[in-house]
Amino acid sequence: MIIADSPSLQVEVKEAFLRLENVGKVFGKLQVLENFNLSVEEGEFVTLLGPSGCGKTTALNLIAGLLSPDSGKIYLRGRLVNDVITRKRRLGMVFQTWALFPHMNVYENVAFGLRMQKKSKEEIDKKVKAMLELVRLPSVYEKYPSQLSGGMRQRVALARGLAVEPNILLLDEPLSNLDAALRKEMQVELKRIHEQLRVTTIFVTHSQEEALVMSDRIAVMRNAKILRIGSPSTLYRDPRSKFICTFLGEANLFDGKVIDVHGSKASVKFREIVLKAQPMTPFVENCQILLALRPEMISVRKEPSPSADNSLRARIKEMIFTGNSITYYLDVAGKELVALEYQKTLEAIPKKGSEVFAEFEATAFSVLEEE
Amino acid sequence: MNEKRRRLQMLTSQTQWLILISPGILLLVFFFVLPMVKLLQMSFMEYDRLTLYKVVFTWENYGKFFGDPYFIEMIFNSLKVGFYTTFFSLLIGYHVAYYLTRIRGIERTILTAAFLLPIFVTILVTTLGWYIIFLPFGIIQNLLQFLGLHEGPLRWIQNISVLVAVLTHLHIPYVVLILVASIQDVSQEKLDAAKILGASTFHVFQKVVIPLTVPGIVSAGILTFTDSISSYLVPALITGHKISLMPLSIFSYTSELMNWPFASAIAILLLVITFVITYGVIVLTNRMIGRGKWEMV
Repeated sequence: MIIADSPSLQVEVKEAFLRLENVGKVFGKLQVLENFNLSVEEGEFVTLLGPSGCGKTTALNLIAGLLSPDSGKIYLRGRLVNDVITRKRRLGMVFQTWALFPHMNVYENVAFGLRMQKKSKEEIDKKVKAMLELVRLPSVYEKYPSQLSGGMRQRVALARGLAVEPNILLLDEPLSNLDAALRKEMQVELKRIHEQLRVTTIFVTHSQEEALVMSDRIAVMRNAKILRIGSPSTLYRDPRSKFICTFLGEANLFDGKVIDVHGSKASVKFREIVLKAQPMTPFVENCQILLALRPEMISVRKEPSPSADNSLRARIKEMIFTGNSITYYLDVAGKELVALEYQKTLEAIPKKGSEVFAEFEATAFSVLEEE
Repeated sequence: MNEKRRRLQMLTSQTQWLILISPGILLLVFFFVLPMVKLLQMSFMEYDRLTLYKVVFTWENYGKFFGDPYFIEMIFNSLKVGFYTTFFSLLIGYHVAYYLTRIRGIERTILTAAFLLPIFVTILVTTLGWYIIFLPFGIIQNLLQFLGLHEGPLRWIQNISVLVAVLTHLHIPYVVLILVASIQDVSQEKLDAAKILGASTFHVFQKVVIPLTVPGIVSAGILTFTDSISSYLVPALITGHKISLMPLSIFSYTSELMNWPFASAIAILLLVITFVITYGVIVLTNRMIGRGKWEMV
């Protein structure tokens, strides 16, 4: 605290670009944000991911200054901004409804923030054109928002937010009002624009797909708190918590008991099956353990291969063919196992109801904490 | 047979909307258009003591009106009442309406009820409330007398300011009703977006809220203006004939002086003035906000 208050030392301390410190917010009796800690580096794309009502939008509004925290501190570029009003924070924001100004045409919408900054006419003109070029909307200056499609409105909102050269670009579920195909397209667009401008971005979403595709880091939120922050691949491969594991993609869960430990390998008994597991975390003998196995880690074979760590006899209950991949719903000793296999050869596909072997490596497991 | 039926069907589908709209049209023709035509005719006739009017064509009534400074002042008095009432009703009403759209729950219910309640009470009762307070021998005068600050009836209270105050009070509920609907269309997100982009509260209003609610402001303004400029009952109760106003004059010439042609002329002038101003305001504001070019999203 002393360091932060002393201006001479402040320069020497490497400050995060944006830092939220033990931030809390209460609405009536409801604690919507509790002990919220988040540090964002300059140029980073951080996603707040969680189910609705987890407090992610509240966190965004606190950063924007639209709400003020009941406890804790918010620092922007090393400066305490708790009492700095919204318009002085120099931010850009894209809302779920895009919130364009319907009585202004595209050009005026994008120019709005620059006009507020009292920029010169030439500067505004140059910037507006550059921004519309960036979002690939160069020829619609005169159009009004009501004359644009959802995807175009989204691009205008993005250009408007970026035109002011914001400290941080805040995105509040901007893709959720678009149809599936457009959403995919905009994910790629957002990623491209972020890579081009490197503007620090905070993205709020409940869609795990959007989070995985776009983020440098994801903060998974639940019940007013951040459960864990990490890169998409870390969180996906080593989710650690059951909530994160099932929220980020699909997983087969095994609630078993460790019966034997050999170095880093262990045998885990799940019902009458014995699984060989070698996850990153060490084991203790005779303890209950929750293992997760992603569907794509399982291979479905007609004959057992001798080299596999685990090879379980299974029956195909159901299968869904989607061209490049097949999702199998397998029955292994009464337990349903989901397996996803990509088609790399033109081998004959096993038939529904047939006996197969579900095979996977010991290292494919991750250990979860039950909460 | 079939051909005939099809023709009949076609005919009915073509005339269907005419049949549906005819009661409205008939009502309008008999109770609005015809009386207005009659009124216009009457305004060009000549007053006669015995027969009330003589069927001739003369500009005399209009000449008399514009030749007399008393009547010119009357126009200005009426316009003053109309403008001030509209201005203050909108000023107060906008604040109330804006506040009402930003609150929720029980607070909103209570405040809405408080502001809309006067609509359910007849104007007569509301005005009598003011009457008791303001007029000679009213509460204010009695209070001043009790405190020894003033003796005798308060003549100054029967003036335009009080009239405007009463009319404003009467029109605020309607203004609030119209403006709430209009302001509600401007989502909080739009205001937040403007704020984040660096707009001060003043700029948020000037650039976003006001332009987006201009249609509501214009409707509420026109309603208040036309209603207050043509109000008879309230001035009759508050100021009496101390101030010359067009509606009061129309009434006098119709039922007291029995000069129907001249009363018609004043009525037509009131109509023309109201129409020109209203139309001018609509055209001007539409051009200002570029109405028709955009739609609310």
